[in-house]
Amino acid sequence: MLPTSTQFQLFKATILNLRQVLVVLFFGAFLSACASGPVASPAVEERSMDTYPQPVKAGPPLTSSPMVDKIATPRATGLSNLSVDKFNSPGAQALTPTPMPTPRTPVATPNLNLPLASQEVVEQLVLQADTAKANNEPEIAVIKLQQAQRIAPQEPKVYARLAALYLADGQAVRAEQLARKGLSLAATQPAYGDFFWRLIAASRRYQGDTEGEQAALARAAQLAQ
Amino acid sequence: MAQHPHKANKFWRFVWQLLTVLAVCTLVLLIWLDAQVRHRFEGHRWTLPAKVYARPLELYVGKQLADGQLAYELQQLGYRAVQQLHKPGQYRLQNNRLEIYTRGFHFVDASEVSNRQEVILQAGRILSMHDTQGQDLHLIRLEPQLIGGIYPSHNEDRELVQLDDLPAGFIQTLLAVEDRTYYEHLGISPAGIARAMAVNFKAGRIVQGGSTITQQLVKNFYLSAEQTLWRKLIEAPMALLLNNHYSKDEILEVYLNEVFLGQQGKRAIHGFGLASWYYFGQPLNELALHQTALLVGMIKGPSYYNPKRYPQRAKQRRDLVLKILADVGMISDTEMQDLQSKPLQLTKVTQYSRYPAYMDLVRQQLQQAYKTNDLSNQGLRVFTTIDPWAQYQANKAMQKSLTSLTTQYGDQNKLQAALVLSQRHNGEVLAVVGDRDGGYAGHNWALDDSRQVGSLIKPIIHLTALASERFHLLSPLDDSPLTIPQPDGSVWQPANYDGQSHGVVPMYQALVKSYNIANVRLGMSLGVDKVLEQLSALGVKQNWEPYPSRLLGALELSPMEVNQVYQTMANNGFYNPLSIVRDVTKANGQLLSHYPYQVRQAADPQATYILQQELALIGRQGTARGAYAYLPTEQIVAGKTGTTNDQRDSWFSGFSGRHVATVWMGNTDATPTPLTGSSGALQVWGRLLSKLPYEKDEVNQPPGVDWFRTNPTTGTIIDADCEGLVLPFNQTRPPAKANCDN
Repeated sequence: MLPTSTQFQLFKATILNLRQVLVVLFFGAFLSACASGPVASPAVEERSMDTYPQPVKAGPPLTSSPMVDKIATPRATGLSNLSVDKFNSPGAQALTPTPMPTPRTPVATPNLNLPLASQEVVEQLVLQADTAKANNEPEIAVIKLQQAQRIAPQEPKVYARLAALYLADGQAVRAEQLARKGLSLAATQPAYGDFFWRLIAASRRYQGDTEGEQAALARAAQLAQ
Repeated sequence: MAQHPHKANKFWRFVWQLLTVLAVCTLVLLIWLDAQVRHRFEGHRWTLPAKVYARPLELYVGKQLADGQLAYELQQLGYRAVQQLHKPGQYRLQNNRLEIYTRGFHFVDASEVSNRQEVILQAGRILSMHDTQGQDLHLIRLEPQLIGGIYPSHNEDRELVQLDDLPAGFIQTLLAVEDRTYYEHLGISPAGIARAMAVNFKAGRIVQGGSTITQQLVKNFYLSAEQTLWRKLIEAPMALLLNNHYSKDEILEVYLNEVFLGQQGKRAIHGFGLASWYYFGQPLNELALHQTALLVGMIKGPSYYNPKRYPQRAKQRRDLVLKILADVGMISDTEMQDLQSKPLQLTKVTQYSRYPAYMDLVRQQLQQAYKTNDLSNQGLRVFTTIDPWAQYQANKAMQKSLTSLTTQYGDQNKLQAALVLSQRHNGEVLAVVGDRDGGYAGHNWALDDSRQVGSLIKPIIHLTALASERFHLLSPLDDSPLTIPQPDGSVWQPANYDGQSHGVVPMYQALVKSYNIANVRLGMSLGVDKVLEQLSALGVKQNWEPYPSRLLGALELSPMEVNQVYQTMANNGFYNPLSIVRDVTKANGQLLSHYPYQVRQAADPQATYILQQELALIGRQGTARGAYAYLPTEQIVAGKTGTTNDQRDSWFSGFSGRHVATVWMGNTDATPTPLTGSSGALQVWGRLLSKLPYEKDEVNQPPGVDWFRTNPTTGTIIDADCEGLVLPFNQTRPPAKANCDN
């Protein structure tokens, strides 16, 4: 049986390659003996033959399924600037009386403003997270929000966005816990309180906890009054 | 007698057959060599270890920086202090003004481009930031510092570079020294070999080799280090084959990444990219010509010319390379002299192996999700939470404290120590010291060893009490002698550290003064099992039997576990698992894993908030007030000391600003030490916290808590204009009200 044209081309290419190889061999056999001196040679390590890499398995999953905003995050204009300074009486002076308001009523605690700093950069990061979310890049949105959380860990807005992201992604337990954390930071901000309780209600509904959902909605309603 | 023609024919036939066999064997050999050359060159060339990075330094308006932090971090990143900025990797820090030419970096979420920027500081806080056009900047993220790698068994490491990454004059220098006819020969250089042979003949020994760069690459890339005849036989044909298949630039680029340039312990430094970091602490493209000359000169003998070990010898070699450059006309004689007068300018920063305890944690976390092979072969990039400044200060605080203790108590050669520092609001681990020397990669006392925690358990008793709706900070506790019968018929009689009993004391005072008997009584009234349940909820899960002695810390935890528990208490009762890794990407930057922020409410927020005030009182009035020897009075110290029986363990765990830290000290064989929690661990803690930026960043007061002025003696709320201690209470169960004097 005669070879096909392709087989013939392959055969021809192989012969040509072998011709090159033979030429190389001729010179090589002579030159290899005096190829290099040991003094100047770079050190060489023993190594095993390479194996082709296996695909890397992903670590803890963060699902990349499209996210839908099920709850609108409150449009709070500024950041939380209500941090309470409780530890401001140094040493023995802690026992020293300071002027206080009306007798037998709770003592007002001073506010501590967060540095304006954090406000601008956090607003930027939250915006970038919103953009990433809109672009269907939930992982990037989460990374941006975590960056914001590191800068302003007291900022409820960051937790609100994170919780909403996770809820939209079906991670209801995580969303509820984030909402609880946010709630603990938004004691004096009813808008956030309402939002977080409604988000907790939605998370519980997702988990099949109807009673818990109703309780959370009742808390939201309480705040709305 | 004439030879028989038949025999002659037979001989020549044998020779012909022999030659034919040889030719066939040679042919097969060449085909095999050809396959080898192409397979390795076109396949997966190197196994790249995972690169482990520290957290990037983020600069933004309002950020607080510690004194000296900025300069330290820039030096660690290999930035050069200059008078005028010309290129990336330079900075100028004068008074409160930082000018920086950043290098840029490809982060998971975005690429930071190389740029000139200006940062204005005031009292350690960033006041403003802008670029060269005067545009305000919100955030500058510097590239993260490379802190280590996870290596394959051969321990080769390299930082891949491309021809475009090379500094000016690099190729010319390399070729002038190693292979002047590189772009002309076919992979081997007969002229070079002849020249080498002549030199060797003249010298009577082998003093010069005739290897081309292609041959060197073949030797390093394909062959073993053994000087065997076989290796020599196949080196040249392989070089010719390589040259035949690939372009000169392709071969050169592989050579630049393959060449061996040094050894750091087990780690082999390959390629100019990594060598540049290893010797100069800078990327290759930032090197000046005299630095390039040193690296090129080292090819001849990386160990012999190691500039870290033999600086004089290395400088001579570098100067010789510079002379070669002058001889070939690449630089003038004046330039040569100028460059030869420069010092070697080696970096003092050790990039790797500085944080063994932290790297233990990184490996531990990664091995839960990745195969060991993937970690050591695929060039993964691992972005961690380690804060290089905090880690540096943690090591320093430990060293200083140990020196001071030695002065005070004499040589304590059995004394070991460990430290864990984390971010209060998200549980990111910022620093770990695994033993008294800090840089020792042996037993990790922060992770691998558990010791009795002593009084560190008491805040958990108080948290359980405050959450139980039965107690508040002024609840009276009995500190009189106590006897508890044991199931085996014996009795347990806890005693106070000072051997005294203090009668009835308000609950907060029992913690502030760390009274054992009052706290055991409190714990017994709650139930030991309830206290242990609370402890588990805070982040450590173990099956402890509910013995009464647990209430005085007769249970063993590692410093890492203790830090987890205090982390949760510092974070208003929200548990964040201590985390070490933020992201893992492929070598090309593609995200593989992101470790998300995790949170779980683990304790009643009101109770935890009130407990935090108790812990702060320990700093103000109790066993932790010694921390103020290092810290300004306006800074919060909220935590608890722990001293176990016979002073076998010295503990302190607590928080301040945005940091939670735990320190342990004790003898390796658990014998008594001269240290209490205050005189040992607290000293390290105070020293460390004094060097970290302090953000007055207390957690918001949760709803349902009110502050009242109180009379601790009577345990009552009093009028605000009376004298007394201001304390927080749960709105639903405040103490009774009374007049000032009652």
